Amino acid sequence: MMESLLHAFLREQGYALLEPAPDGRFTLVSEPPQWFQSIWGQAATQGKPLNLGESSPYLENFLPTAQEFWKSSTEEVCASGTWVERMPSREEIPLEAVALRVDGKPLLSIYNPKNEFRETSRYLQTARDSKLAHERLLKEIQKKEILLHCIVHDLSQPLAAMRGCFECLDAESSTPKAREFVEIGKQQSVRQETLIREIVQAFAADLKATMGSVDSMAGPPDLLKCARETVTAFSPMFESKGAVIRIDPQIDPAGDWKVAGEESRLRRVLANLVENSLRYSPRDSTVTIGLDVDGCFLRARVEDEGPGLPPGSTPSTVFALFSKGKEGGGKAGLGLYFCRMTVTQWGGSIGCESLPVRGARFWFRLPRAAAEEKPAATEEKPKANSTDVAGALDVPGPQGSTQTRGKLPLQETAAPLQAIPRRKPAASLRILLAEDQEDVRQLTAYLLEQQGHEVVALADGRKALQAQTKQRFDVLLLDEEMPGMTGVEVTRKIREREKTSGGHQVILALTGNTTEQDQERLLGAGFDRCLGKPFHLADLLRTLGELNLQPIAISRPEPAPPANPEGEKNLLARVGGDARLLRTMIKTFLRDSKRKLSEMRRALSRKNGIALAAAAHALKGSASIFGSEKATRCSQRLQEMGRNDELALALPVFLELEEEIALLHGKLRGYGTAGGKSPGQPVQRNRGPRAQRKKK
Amino acid sequence: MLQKKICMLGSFAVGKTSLVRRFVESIFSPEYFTTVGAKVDKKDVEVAGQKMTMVLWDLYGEDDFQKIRWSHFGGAFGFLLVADGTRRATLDKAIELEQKARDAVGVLPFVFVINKSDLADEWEIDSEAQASLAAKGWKILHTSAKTGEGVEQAFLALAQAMLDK
Repeated sequence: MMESLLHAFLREQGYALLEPAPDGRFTLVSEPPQWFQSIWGQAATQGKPLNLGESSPYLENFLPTAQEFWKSSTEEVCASGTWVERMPSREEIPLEAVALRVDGKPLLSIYNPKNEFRETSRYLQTARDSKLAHERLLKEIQKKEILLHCIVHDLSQPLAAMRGCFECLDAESSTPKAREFVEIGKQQSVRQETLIREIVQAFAADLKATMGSVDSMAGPPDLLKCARETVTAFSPMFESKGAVIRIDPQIDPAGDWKVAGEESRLRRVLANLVENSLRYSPRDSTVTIGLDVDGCFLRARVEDEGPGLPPGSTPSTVFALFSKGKEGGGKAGLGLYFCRMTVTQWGGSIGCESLPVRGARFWFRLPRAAAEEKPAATEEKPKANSTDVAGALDVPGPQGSTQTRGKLPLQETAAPLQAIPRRKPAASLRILLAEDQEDVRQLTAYLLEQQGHEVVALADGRKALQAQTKQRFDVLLLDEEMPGMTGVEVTRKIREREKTSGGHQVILALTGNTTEQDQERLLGAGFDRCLGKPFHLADLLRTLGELNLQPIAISRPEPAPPANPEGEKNLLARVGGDARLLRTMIKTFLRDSKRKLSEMRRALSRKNGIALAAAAHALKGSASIFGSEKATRCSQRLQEMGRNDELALALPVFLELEEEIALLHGKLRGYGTAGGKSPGQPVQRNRGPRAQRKKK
Repeated sequence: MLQKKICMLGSFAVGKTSLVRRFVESIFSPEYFTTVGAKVDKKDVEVAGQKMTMVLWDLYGEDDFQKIRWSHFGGAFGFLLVADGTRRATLDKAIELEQKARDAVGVLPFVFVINKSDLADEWEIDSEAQASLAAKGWKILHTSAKTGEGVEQAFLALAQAMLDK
């Protein structure tokens, strides 16, 4: 009675119990469920031995394992795992087999775990659907972010330049009507910019809402954890290429590596950098992910042993949209762009450089999570600017994008227009501007010159340091991130030098990194002030004004000599004693030499040898008329270099020429006046076309 | 007739079940139903004049929730390694699984299939990654379980590889 009840119970529960025979077949010892009969047929109910493996390849694979279990004395459960068997009716049924020992007797249980299977399926389906949805969402977010930044980049870059051009046109316009037209152009460009900002804000709000739903519960990501996961994920790929990826063993595993940001995107940033390194890693090379503490920031670096960055490439070009490596190694050119965009959004920065021996280093740094309480730089509201300075040049930020707005003085682009008064500045300054973005450099230099300042504009930090060593400047305006040598490195070197030489060079940082932490870091590095990009010219002028700079001419050790009556006599003699003609010639030279120097500077930055030679040739003639042997010699050299297209060593010669011309200007301005100036008086500086016009 | 067991190996949702269904039954369902456990199908083929029954073990995809039971590979003659061209991470998983398979059951013939060629515009697995795997001797084929493109060729290529061994 009990036995028949037990058999009925097992059948109802979906179990079939079988006993193994020595020949490898099995005999049923319980009443089989319906599904068993469907698979193994009627013979199953007649007590005949069954060859289970014949009808089920899965079971055939499991039975040798079960046989081993019965022979052993192990206590471990010997289960087959779930498989799905298709019955003759094509209905699919989940099954699981377990090898048992009951009172020393071997038994095989085959079970239909339909409820557990249903639950497991539901659980796994939900989990995997969610994971796929999350992956899709992240991809969509990345696409949207790229689209957003494309809009900002593509629309803002030319707009900023256009506004600069309007400013320049305004300075050159001589009729009221022309100025009226320029004013209309400026007003329209501001309207356009406002529209762009509104579009950007709409996208940003959308993205923020999306991201909020994805990651609102996540805490600040751990950089080391993400780096380890990246290494794990990429190890097989590296191995397949015969290369190695590793975490720098110097990293302190107990350190606090939490940064501002969001984990999945941080992993993607790291993955994109590693993928890029993998692409250029030769066989038997190693890629190392390192982490460093950098003040309020944490810095991650991916170093490979490949060929290094292509010659001429800069972080700006490498991280640009649709930038592909040499031989088109990359995919769509979005990966590194995404890295830059993401890191910048989180208040960080990104860069790359070739390593001294071989390989390249890609790095990014992010604010530490402790400093994350404040909203990310992008979320901070723009600092309103005073209305009396609006309408000046909007100098684009890195890559020309409408940059993050932080604590540093930034311009409010929608403020009502009002032209900067073109006035003679209280002090005409000699300014060294180092900025690798050509349009920003040219426009900033031009507009500063319009304000009567004298500007030497260079494209990289190394040249800036070189120029600062040779010449004196009232102030240095250094872009923080430049190829070759960054503004920070230039400043550190100058400050080191000052420890022994004394003195203090005033240095202003121009930076796209505008958080309070950035400002602290830059001031700590030796900058006197920081100006966030994009900036108005008016912001720059105000900052320069706040520095209370005393023009160096007062203390310059080599003041321009006073007017030399002998020199004047000689010059007069050359023009047949016609003082009026001499004055006209001097005026022309003062104006034209400045223009020629600008043309030469432009030719150098564009590596245009022909233009350099032409401008140098013209200046050589004028310089020789006024008896400056050094200027003549320098012009001659530059002319030859330009003609031969050998511009590598042209810059120092140009700087020498520029200095000499400045001295000559000082001399010439003294001519025709009563006795010139007495020694010790400030040198009359070149005040640029606008100032010259006023002077006239 | 010659009978050869092969296993489907790859990350979850790469299309292993869809490939088997396309190959065996010539059907495709656009809906994703995750595979739990294993399912075995058979398909008779003829390769280079040799008739063969392919016993196809469709195994669940490996992820954080389910790990491959390498005992399923017992008696296998080869495997089809599958990745989803639109998900870069599935390539990394495929490389990892290939290594694990080698460690667990030794060197077996396999064909690496990058599925979802109908979505080629969205692929994240670039030609450089494929070239580096091909340089290691991997046979790589592109398939679409949805359109059927390359599916039969992939299974037949594996059958051929098993015969060649």
